[in-house]
Amino acid sequence: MLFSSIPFIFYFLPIVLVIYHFTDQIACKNCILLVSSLIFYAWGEPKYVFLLLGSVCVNYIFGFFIHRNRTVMIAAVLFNIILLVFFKYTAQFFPMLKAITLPLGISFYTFQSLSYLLDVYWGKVEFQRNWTSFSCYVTLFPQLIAGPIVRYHDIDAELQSRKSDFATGVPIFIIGLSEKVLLANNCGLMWENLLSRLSVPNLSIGVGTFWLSLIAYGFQIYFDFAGYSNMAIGLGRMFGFHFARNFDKPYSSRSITEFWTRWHISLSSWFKEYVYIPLGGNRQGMAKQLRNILIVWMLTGIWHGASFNFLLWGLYFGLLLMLEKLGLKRILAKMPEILQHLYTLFAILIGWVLFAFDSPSMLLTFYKGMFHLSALPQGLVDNTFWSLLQNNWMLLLICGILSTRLPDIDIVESFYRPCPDHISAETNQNRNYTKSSHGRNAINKVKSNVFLKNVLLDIFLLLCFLLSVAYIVDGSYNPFLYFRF
Amino acid sequence: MGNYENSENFENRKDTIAMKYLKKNKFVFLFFSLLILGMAGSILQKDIAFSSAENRYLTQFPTLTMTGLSDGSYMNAMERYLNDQFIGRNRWITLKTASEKTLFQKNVIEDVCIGTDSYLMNQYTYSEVDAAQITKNIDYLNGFQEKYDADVILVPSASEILTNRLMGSIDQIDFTSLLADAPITLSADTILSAHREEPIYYKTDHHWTLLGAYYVYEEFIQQLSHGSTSDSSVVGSIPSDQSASAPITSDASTPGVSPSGALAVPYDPLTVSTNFQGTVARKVGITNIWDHMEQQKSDTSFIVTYDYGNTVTDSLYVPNYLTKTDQYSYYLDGNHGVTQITNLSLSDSSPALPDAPSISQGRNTLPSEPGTGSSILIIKDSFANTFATLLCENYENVYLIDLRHYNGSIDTFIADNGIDQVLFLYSKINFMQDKNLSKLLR
Repeated sequence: MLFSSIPFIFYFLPIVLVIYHFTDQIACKNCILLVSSLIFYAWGEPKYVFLLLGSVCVNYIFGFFIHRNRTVMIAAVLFNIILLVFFKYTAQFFPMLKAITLPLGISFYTFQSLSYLLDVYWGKVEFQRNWTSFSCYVTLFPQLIAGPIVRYHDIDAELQSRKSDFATGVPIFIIGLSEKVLLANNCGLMWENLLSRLSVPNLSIGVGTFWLSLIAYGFQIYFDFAGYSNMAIGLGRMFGFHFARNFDKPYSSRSITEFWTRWHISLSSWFKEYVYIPLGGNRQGMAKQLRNILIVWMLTGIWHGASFNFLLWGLYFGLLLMLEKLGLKRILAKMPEILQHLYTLFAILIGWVLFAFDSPSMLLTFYKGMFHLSALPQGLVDNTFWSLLQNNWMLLLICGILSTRLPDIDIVESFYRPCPDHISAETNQNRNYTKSSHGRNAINKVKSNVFLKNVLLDIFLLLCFLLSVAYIVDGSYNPFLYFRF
Repeated sequence: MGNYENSENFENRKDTIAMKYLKKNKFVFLFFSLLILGMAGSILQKDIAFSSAENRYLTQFPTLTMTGLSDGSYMNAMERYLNDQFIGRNRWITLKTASEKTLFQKNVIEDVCIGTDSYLMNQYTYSEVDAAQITKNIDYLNGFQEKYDADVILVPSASEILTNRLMGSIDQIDFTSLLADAPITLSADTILSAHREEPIYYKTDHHWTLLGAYYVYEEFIQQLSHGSTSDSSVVGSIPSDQSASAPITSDASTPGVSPSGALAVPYDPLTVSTNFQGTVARKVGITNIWDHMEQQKSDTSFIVTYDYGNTVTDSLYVPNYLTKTDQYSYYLDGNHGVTQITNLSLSDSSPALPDAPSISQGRNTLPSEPGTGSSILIIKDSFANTFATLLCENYENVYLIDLRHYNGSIDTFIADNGIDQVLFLYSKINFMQDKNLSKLLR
């Protein structure tokens, strides 16, 4: 069940919310969340739901013994890694095992289990005695199949005690939904159009069409993933969980290093916390640090899918990060800002081609097409280019503006802060909802303008929601992009 | 932990606060009301079987089976069901189109081009065609054309011809190069392009109008009477100004041919509907454009036999459809496997015409001259339905075969019914997509 689908929005969600909010005890609430998460998962993966349950139970038991116990820790990590590798990568390398399909969300829930186990091992948190609470953490349906990857110590407290936050949850959900349905899916159509042209033999495609479609693909991945994360975060808040922000204007970065602090933050911080730092991080000299970067980025690459292009994609970014560490960043810093942005965007777009195609010949065709090296006669711009531009300039413009850091239009930012009227200042500080003072300023601005906040914003959100529903009902192109993760 | 304790207390009071909050925050309240309304409305609403707007059957409530549950097909069917039967389906589609047009400023919505003068045209993209299927179909058609010396007409799409009505460039497949090897004997492109200012296509439907069909019909008959068919090089050079003098030309055409059956009948339209909304408009939920539908006025009596006598009627038209959504089926009752139209005024004078022998030059065995006593077989898609209502004025028997609904042998059919002439008439896009063309050589 996609979040962006009628069954989820109009059936599953209201039913679960109503049952959830008419129970009192936190134990009951966790129980309801667990059951609904399992139903949610079984709806898409009726068989692998038992694998999920098995993994949860084994990890729950590991949790009892793992504290400061190296042997148990190694066994537990191996168990999870083997599970992940077996289901994710075997079919790729042994074609006779094709029957093993990739269980939905296995990369996400395995990483969450590992996060719990390692947090307990290091003594960051107590182990979770309550099976329901632990299972609830791993299977929580808002983040189960497409992230964000929640680290255990971030929501440990909220498993015992939490308070639903609709005031920000609903808007963040609606914004995520519109990002996915109105922006990402429409950009995806431009990309699909190019793919269908590429599949026709001997069809000449102009250089401009390659670039325009690739830009659209970049927007599709960003708004799809960020939209999905926002929906998850919004849903989480409706149930009282506060997940950290997963995407923070990545395309406005001035270097690849910065890009990876803003893109899929939950994944890169997971790798940083549980792989990079345990390996020694940057504390044992440059050589070790470069080695660690390489390892982390190879893993990041293949985490995204079991084919060689994802490995290349990870290595590509690992290499760029190493170059930036070795001095490129210092050189960049002296250049005008616009050049820094152009360099970053160019490097990201080149990377998306690696991400998109798992066949080497397609990769080559695409790169050749982008740089006017195609074997077929090729113009700079063709009819397709103009047609795409005429029909999508507004879409691309909106996507472009929303990718920048202009604070006044950043509506998402304004909701990443709790509504000040009903959450006490102390909880606010405790849970550290807002990290950036920048965001706080943006909100205060919005807050000061009561009319804008109360009326315009509501109308805007309502419009976003209705339009998203219209696009969903129409059965337009609405893919799920994370089935390989 | 002091704060923690506090929030524990907070926790206990939470429900009342949550309820208070819902009441205080109107937007959250509105959002949940919408969710509940959407669910309740869809459940209470009676399920719809067929969406005339989208021209397809909507998914019905799936039956629960163990296998369906374990392989997930039940869940998929359920998701499709809930989506298809969501309340206010058509209104949502209209809203989406409005958003595409005004918010995203698109001229092409769901592959429908919004043209000037309210013309809506399908744009065909590479995702809809398959190069291998096209090659196969061209091979079948070449074999067929050679075997029966058939005439071949492929009707272009509106977006190819009405380029003057397009706003900006469109991103369409290159029909000309994809169909370069198709044995087209009469270029409908040339004929229709000359008349692009006239209403030769519907504004809201993908079909050509009676007028569009008429121009090609006129040229087809004229070529036959010249005995110069089945040579594409000749066809390509048809002077377009000749056909430009259109609707009333038939008496101006070749004086040498005398029999009434060999002349194109003059275009004489009768408007039968003024509120036709075709497939293209319905696809994007545009409801404020209407088309007129015409039929040819005729004094001739016909007998129409569908599917070997399953239904026999004396009219080419089915007026019932004019009150339904699918008005185009007014012509010859939509799609049937086999349709036979017998022209009673031609079949009365059964003896062959005196000039009959003189016309078979250029053809091997089949007499090509239309006229009394001759029979033509059209292998067709729905574009031929208007065309056939004109052509039946000139032939004693017009047989139509729709390969989607016909599984017999063409060879036997031709032998059994004494067919003199064979015509293949398809729209280009249907020709490229049809998976039944192997039946041509049966």
